[in-house]
Amino acid sequence: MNSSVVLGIAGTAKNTGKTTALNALLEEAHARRVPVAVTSIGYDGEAVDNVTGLPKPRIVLQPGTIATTSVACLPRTGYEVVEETEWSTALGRILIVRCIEAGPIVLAGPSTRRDLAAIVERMRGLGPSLTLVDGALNRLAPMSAASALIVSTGAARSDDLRALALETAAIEAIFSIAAASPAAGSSEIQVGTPFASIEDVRGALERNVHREARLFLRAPVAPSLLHALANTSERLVRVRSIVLPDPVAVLLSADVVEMQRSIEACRASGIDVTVARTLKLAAVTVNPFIPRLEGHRYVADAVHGEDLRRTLRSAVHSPVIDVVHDGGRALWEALSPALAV
Amino acid sequence: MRSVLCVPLDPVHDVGIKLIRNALAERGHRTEILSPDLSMEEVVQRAAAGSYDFILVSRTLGYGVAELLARFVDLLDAAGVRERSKIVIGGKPVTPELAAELGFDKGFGEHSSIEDVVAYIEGRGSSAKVSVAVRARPDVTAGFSYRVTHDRARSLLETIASKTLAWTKDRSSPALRRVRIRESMRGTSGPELARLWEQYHALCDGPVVEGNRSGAYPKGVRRVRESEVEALRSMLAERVAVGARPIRHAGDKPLFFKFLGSGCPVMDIVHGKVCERYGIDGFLIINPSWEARYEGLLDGLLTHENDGTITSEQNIRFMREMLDPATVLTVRAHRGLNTPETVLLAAHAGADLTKINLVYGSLGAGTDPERLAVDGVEAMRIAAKAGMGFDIPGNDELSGVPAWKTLAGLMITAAIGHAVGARPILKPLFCYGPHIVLHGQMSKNFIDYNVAKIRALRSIMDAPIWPGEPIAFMTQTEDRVQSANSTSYHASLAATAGVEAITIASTDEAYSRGPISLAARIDSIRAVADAYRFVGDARFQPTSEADRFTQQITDGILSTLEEVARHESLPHAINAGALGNAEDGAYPGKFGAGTVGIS
Repeated sequence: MNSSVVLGIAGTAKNTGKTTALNALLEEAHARRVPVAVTSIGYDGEAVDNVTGLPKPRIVLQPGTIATTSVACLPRTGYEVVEETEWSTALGRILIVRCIEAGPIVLAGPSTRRDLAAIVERMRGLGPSLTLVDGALNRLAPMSAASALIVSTGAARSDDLRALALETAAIEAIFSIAAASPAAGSSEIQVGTPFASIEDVRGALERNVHREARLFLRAPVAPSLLHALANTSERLVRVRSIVLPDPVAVLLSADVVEMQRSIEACRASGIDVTVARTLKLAAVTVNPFIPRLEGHRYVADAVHGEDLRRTLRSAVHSPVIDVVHDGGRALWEALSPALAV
Repeated sequence: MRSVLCVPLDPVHDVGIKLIRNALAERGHRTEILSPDLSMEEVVQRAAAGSYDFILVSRTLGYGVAELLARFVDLLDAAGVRERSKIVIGGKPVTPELAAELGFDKGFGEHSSIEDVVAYIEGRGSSAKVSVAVRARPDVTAGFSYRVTHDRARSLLETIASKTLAWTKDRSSPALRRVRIRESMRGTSGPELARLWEQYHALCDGPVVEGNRSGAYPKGVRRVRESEVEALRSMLAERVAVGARPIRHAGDKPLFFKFLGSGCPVMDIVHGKVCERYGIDGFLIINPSWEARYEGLLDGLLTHENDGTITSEQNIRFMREMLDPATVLTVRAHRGLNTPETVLLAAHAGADLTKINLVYGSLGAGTDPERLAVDGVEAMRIAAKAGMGFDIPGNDELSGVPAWKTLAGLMITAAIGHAVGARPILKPLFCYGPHIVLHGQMSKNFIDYNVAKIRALRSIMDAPIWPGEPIAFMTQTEDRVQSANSTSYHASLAATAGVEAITIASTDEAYSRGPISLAARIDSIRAVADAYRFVGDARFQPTSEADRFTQQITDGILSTLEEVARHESLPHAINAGALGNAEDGAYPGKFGAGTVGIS
């Protein structure tokens, strides 16, 4: 086990199975005596979903597990407070706790990238070999602080399996963007505006005297900018290379398929696209469950599990695990390359 | 000074954020508000271009909107905005949990005030405080002298009270003997306690003895299971209490009461918790009608699969424990053969008030007048000793008794109660009673006659007034909207009359054909709250008829008191029909007849 592994579990939507994947990993880690810390980029472990009102899987921790929660969510028994941190959530100050007696917990944790990195660092001092970061809804941004990600997707994201396969393949492609090489020859131009337009880039280039430029774009990046850069009629031939922050920043910028297409367009016109920092896609988990609105209440529905697994496995190279169907052990084993030293 | 960017992401529901913006600007903060038609990308660019301490977002929620807001939070984080700005979400359904899940630094929902938002922006004591309003338990009887201001009425009431107290003085009943045993049970255990239970059961009817000894309870009664108590506790433990929605628009009167009496204490508590959340101040625990007919009370935490919740000490204690500490609990005692014992148990279990009416309890509910006089006076003494007030419902009006006779009965019970040191509460009905239907006092409106009842009472005695039981009795129909409306009009009239409290029914109270539903409880509460908002500090204007009715009722009360005072004591007057006769539709009760003896 790599002592610095921080594994995030991010979902493409609500109800894609993040909590189920988290619980499976907690159980496997316990069985293998791997010391674990767990935090959330939001709030998780509640009995009933805040949005849909449907029952949710609870989060049960085993003795010794380190976790974050808030003052308002602290379980009455079974946990000791290790530290009251200086960070807060909408539910109050974040507490680092240690499980004394196995029992349910509601996780609450940092909602920003910067705070997550700080909390993970703080928990590291308590000796976990693996830190799990539970996602929230479709949120991604804080996951930049992780070293590897599980992406949870499924019918709750889309019950059109072809569209789901296309999207998942695009996600995988974005994770496989190569790391930028150290600066070589060309000048480096930073464009600091979110959703920078081609005019912003032109302005930055005009202030630059070098012949060829390597463009560092701040997230979020608009696909329209990448398309414009790829379009030679724009005559921005001096841009030879684009460096994006990291796969998470690329993913959250816009529709993933659209984003991936714009990156492909750049590459096709000879522009090298890299990321400043890579992040490993460790596995994809799939969930056939869908919350469907019927009248005024949400009811549980599902697509055919086997169809879902088959379709996604043929679309991506990463391991695709249906945690409920394949079991936690299959997920843990699929992750071992990412978790290994 | 803080710099705040206000972002209405929802063009229709942007009033709240505008109010907040005005409040912030008034306090000297630098505010900017974006137009609601910007795309999310444009908003992110604006937020990144400026330097704001806070970005306030308002948005209503529906499915899909959570994901949209989550993406917005992601974009702000990726754009570096969160490194310098706190982001805040506001909207009716926003809870702290939802705000945390969406990734906002703070959330404000329908229970937040503009001041809460301003306090947060200014960094004043807003961190992690859950808005549980700490209320004090109100006292309906505080500040009343019980002085009878009407000279003639004073001497009549003194005569009636002293005659009745003299008559009851040396008399006893099985209920009084059980009370002594119950008192001895406190603090005893083992064989001594078992011996006392044997003595107690010797004074009880068969079904009570069988239930307590062998668990063979009357039909539909069983013990509440430990698992049911645990399930309730864990359900409530997981819920964060929020401040009650106020029903009153201004001031602290009247208090609002509802009945609890589904038969099941667990269901009562769940209903009670929801009603508390909707601003109800207290509950009246109503027992099964058969409980009143047996000598002795069942013991234990018991559920009853029919109307009426068993008033065992354990049941009352359970409700007291689970309901809000500020909630007022009243336990009905006067119907039947266990009046003093019920008051004693209610006092032990922490109830605040009890319910005793020597007249209505003997007429409408069928307890022998002599028995109820002996038991009721003792019950009032127990209440006085325990510091409990008692309310006197005037529901005999519903059997056809004219209002003045009912109100005279309230005053007599109040005068006797006051004489033994208790604190009574007068409960005239706001109803369309049979006598009124027959004689047309409400043919023009429902206001004048109800107001006249209150004015008549006030012209005689300085005592708290709490129209019940419930208000709008006999005006409600099976149509829930009509029922809610009628309750709300009568509740508004109560505000006009300036009374201390009112009891409001659920909209299906008279027609539920089973336990009343939670939704129907909320119907009437919300209707009343809406009426209070509408009427505000304005008042109904009774016509001149109200004065004529007041005189008529006052005269009627006095002549009734004259008639009652002529009898040896109150039970004799009731038996002679002085407070309601066969022609009115009132008959003296028979339960417990012949059980009163000289002690």
